[in-house]
Amino acid sequence: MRVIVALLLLSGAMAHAHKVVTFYYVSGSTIEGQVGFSNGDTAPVGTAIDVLDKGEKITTIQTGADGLFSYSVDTPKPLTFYADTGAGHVAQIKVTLADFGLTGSESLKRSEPILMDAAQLEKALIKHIVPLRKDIKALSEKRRLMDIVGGLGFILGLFGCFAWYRSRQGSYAR
Amino acid sequence: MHIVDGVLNPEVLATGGLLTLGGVALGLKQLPTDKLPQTALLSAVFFVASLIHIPFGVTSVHFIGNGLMGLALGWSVFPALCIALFLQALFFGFGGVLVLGINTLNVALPAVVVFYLLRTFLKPDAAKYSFGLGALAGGLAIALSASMVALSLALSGEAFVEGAKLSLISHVPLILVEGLLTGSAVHLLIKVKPDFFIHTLPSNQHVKVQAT
Repeated sequence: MRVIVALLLLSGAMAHAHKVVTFYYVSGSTIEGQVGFSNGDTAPVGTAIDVLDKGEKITTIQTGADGLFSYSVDTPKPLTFYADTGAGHVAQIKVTLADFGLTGSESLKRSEPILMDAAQLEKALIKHIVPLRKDIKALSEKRRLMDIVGGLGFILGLFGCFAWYRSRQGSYAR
Repeated sequence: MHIVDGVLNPEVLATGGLLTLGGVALGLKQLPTDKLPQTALLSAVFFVASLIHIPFGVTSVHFIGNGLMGLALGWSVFPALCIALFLQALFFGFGGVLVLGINTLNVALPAVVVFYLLRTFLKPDAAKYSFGLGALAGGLAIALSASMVALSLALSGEAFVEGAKLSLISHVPLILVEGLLTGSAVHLLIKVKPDFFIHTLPSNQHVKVQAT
C-alpha cells in the first residue's frame, strides 16, 4: 500500500515536472484564471495562489477543479497572482488596469444588463480585441528574433559546407 | 528594393534567374578559400542590415552595402547576396523565391560593376582619396540597383522613365547614407586591413583557386 502511495506521489511529481503555464481573463470586476502545466495537466485542487497588491500580500486563494480560480475586486487595480505548485514551479500573473478595460482612472460601473446596438457592441468588442492583438504582435516579433538567429546560422552553415567541400578538393589534389 | 512575387513577367524572371545562376557559379569559382569566412560574414551582415531601418527625413532607409560588398568580394558578391536574399524571402517574406534571381541580379550586378570600375584605384596607399572612392562605390551601387529595379518593372509593363525617376528620387536618401557609410568603411579598411578587398590579395592566390 505504501509503495503504491509513493508511486502515485512520484508520478504526480513527475507529471508536474514541466513549465507552469497560466491563463487568465478579466470579466467585469472578476479575474478568472487557470494554472496548469505545459504538458496539458492542470494544477491540483487547493493549490495556493497569493494575491499581491503592489508587492504586498492581500490574501491567499485556492484553485478549484481543473486548476481554475477566480478573484473579485471592489475597485479595479493592478494585481499580481503568484502560484506555487511546488518543486520550484512557480507562475506569476500580472493583471493590469488595461485588463479591466480601463485606460485611466475611470471607475468600473456596475449596472443592470443593458441593451446595446450594433455600434456599441462593436466598440465593446474592440476594447477586448486590442489587448489580444498586442499579444499576437508581441508573439510574432518574438518569432522574428528566432528567424534572424536561424538565418545567421544558415549562412554560416552553408559557407561552412562550402569550405568543407573546398578542403576535400584540396586533399584530393594532393 | 525587393520586388515581390507576381509582379514581373516570366521572361524577366527567367532571364534574371539564368544570369544570377551564372553569376553565382562564377562567384563560387573565383572565391579564394581565404575569403570564405569574410564572404559568409558579409552575407550575414546584409541579411540582418535590411531589418534595421533608420529614420531619415520623411522616409526610413536601411543599409544595403552592395557597393562595399562588391569592392570586397568581386564576383563572389553573387553567392553571398543570393544566399542572404533567399533566407530573407524564406524567413521574413521579403521578395520571394521566384523573384530571387532577378532580385539578386539587381543588387549584385551593380556591385560587380562598381568593383570593375574602381578596383584599380583602390590601393593600400590611397588613403587621401579612399573616402571619396568608397562614397562613389556606395552611392553608385545603389543608384544602379534602383535603376535596375525600375528596368525590371518596365520590362514587365510599367512605364520605365516614370518608374525609374520615382525609384531614383525615393532612393536619394539611401544613396547619401550609403555613400557616407561606404566611404568611411573603405577609408578605414584600406588602411588597417587592405586584404579586405579581393583585388589586393596576392595574385597567386587567384591563380591557385582557379587551377583547382
